[in-house]
Amino acid sequence: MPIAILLFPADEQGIVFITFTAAFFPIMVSTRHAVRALPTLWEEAVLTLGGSRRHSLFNVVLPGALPGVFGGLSVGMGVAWICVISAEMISGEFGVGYRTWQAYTLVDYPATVVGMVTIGALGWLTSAAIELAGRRATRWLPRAEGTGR
Amino acid sequence: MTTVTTTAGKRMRLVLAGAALGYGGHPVLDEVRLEVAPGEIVVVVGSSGSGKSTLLRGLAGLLAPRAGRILADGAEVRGPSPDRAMIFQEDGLLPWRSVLRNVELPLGIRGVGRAERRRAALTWIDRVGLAGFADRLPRELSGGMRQRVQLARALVGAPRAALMDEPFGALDAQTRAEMQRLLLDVLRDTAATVVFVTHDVDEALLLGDRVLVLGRTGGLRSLTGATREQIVKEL
Repeated sequence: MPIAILLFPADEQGIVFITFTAAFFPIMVSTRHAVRALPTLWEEAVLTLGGSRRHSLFNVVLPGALPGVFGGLSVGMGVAWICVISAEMISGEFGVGYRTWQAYTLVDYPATVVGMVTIGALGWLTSAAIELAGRRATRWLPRAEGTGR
Repeated sequence: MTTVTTTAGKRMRLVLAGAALGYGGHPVLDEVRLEVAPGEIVVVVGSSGSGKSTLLRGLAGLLAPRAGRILADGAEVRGPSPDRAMIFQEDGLLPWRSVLRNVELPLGIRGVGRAERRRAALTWIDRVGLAGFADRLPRELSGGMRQRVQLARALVGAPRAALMDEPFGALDAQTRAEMQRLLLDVLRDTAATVVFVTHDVDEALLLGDRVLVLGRTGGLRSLTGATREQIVKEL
């Protein structure tokens, strides 16, 4: 993290880079696992109906891996928030993390509490949004029984 | 649109010429010789582990033979083709697609227009007795209904051969009898050669024009006109 902050000329670029890298790996790993865990049966069904590899990618692999992709997105979102806030606290020039830390160093406790609450609310909102989108997209899962919509 | 109508009517001849099929180190089936005449319904009976599914996967083109040849209308089978539709024992429906969208799938792959696709799919959904269920997801259907959807999906593209891998194996006796009646009914006016695989001797005798037994030794014996007892003894 310090290297990344030093490496990029503007501090904000370093923060973006750190956040991106931190979110990228959980998403990639869980997508890979989801694709590898796909039953071959679905792909074979599409192939015997005349589908090409492209059909099987769009009709089987992408929709079938979605639950795993959303799992990765949830984790990635959490990690991304942790990284963006702490990177802002260390080297930011604006942003909630920076403002909260500045308020803390200036012994402005009301503003610090506002900052903390804001960070919490933002984290909760974004993860709820992903959760909701994930449920919408994977309504077909067997465990989504009943309250699917 | 034209593909749906022009390929219909011409039934497929399937030939296994001394084919060896298997996975990994050792072949499951060796030197299999089988000829299925156009329009025939051939049922292959075998106990579990005898290589019934392997045989079908070879015919479907999902598994390449290690020796010998597999021919469809004289041409070597090199991969799956929409001419040889397959119905799986486990439910091969795409769970994120509704019944209608599952049945539309083979037509969509062929580039059939949206309206025509929908019309053909709805006709078939109706034909397998699922009218009114077009918008359901597979998880909202019973096992028997899911197999009906698979049947509709396999036949909507007017394949010239239908390969059925114990499609009713997981169903209860009553549903199975219903599905067998439906299958015979649907096949009567479908121009498809059928290879049906099962472990149920009664099912084989009911459905097949010809019954073949796949013994544990990997040999394929024709037992047309044989009684139930004779077949059971051969298993």
